Amino acid sequence: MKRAVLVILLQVMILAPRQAQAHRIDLFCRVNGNVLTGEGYFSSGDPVKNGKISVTDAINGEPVAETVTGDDGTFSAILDSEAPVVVVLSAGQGHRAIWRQPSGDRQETGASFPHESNKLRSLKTAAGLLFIAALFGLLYYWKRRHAT
Amino acid sequence: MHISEGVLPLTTLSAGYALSAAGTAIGLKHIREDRIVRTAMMSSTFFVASFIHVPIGPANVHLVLNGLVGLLTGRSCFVAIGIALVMQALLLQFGGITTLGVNTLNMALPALFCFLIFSPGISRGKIPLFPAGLLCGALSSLLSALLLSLSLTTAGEAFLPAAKLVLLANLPLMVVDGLITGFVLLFIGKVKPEMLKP
Repeated sequence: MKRAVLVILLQVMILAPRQAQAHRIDLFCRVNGNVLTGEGYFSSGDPVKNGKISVTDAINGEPVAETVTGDDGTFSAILDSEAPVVVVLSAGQGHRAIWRQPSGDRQETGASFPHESNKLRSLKTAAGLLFIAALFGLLYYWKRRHAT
Repeated sequence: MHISEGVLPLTTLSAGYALSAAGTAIGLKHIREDRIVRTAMMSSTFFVASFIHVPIGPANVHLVLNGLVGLLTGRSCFVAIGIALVMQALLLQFGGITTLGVNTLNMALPALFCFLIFSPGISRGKIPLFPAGLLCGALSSLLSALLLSLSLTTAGEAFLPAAKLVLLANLPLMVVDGLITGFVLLFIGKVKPEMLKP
């Protein structure tokens, strides 16, 4: 009975990431003419609400614009200069994402807004758990050899 | 509770790496063969726990459970937490490679402290398991949040508001982490109490 409870607990721990939310943040931006638009979201797909957006000149580091993300994680800003920009999204607790505009293309730059699929996240989680098991397996092997 | 790349100055990053390397070396030296599986299990638990977010008001904090990891791995907690953070940084881009030392220190040092404070009383049965787990989980979360805030203050005055916010946002986490740690200790106390001996 005790073993069965332990096995169930272990399964719950392993399956938990399927319903979990990751907390890495991603930032995607587009520049069209002098309008910067973008979106910040956690890798779970949840938008970063009220995140601070700082836009600086990529060449001299001067501030260009500041704004915050809305409830849907999107934002927009007007760019006065022609220089490429660096966009920093601060979501608090040290979470930060940076987007750098490729130089020389002011018409339209930036990526589409791909959200990491749950399947990919689950695969990464499973890979992480396997790596942890493998690393501790190596440690066990090393300890055994060292002991003899 | 992970600090991302590009936030902290080089001195903080270097100090974090140096202290974490020392903690990991001591952990590797002290880890016993018969405790490696348990340490791997707790490393996996820590790896997974960080994905589970607890939405509390406007804040969105995630489980840490470093107090539980500390209690069950003892001096090897730097190894368990360090490896889990490496995997999170490499596979999921939580935190980062440059901040790995600081993040490990922020999580593992409170875990080690709680092990040293609570483990003797728990293993001798002098403290009831649930209150001990509650206090251990809450204290380790609080200390981690304090260390995280302290790390952010080294990044300059611009990060002072973020440092205060981190501390406030993680206060509810203390309760959640403490409750989970308390219930897990109760469960272990019933099914495998020898696990609680250091």
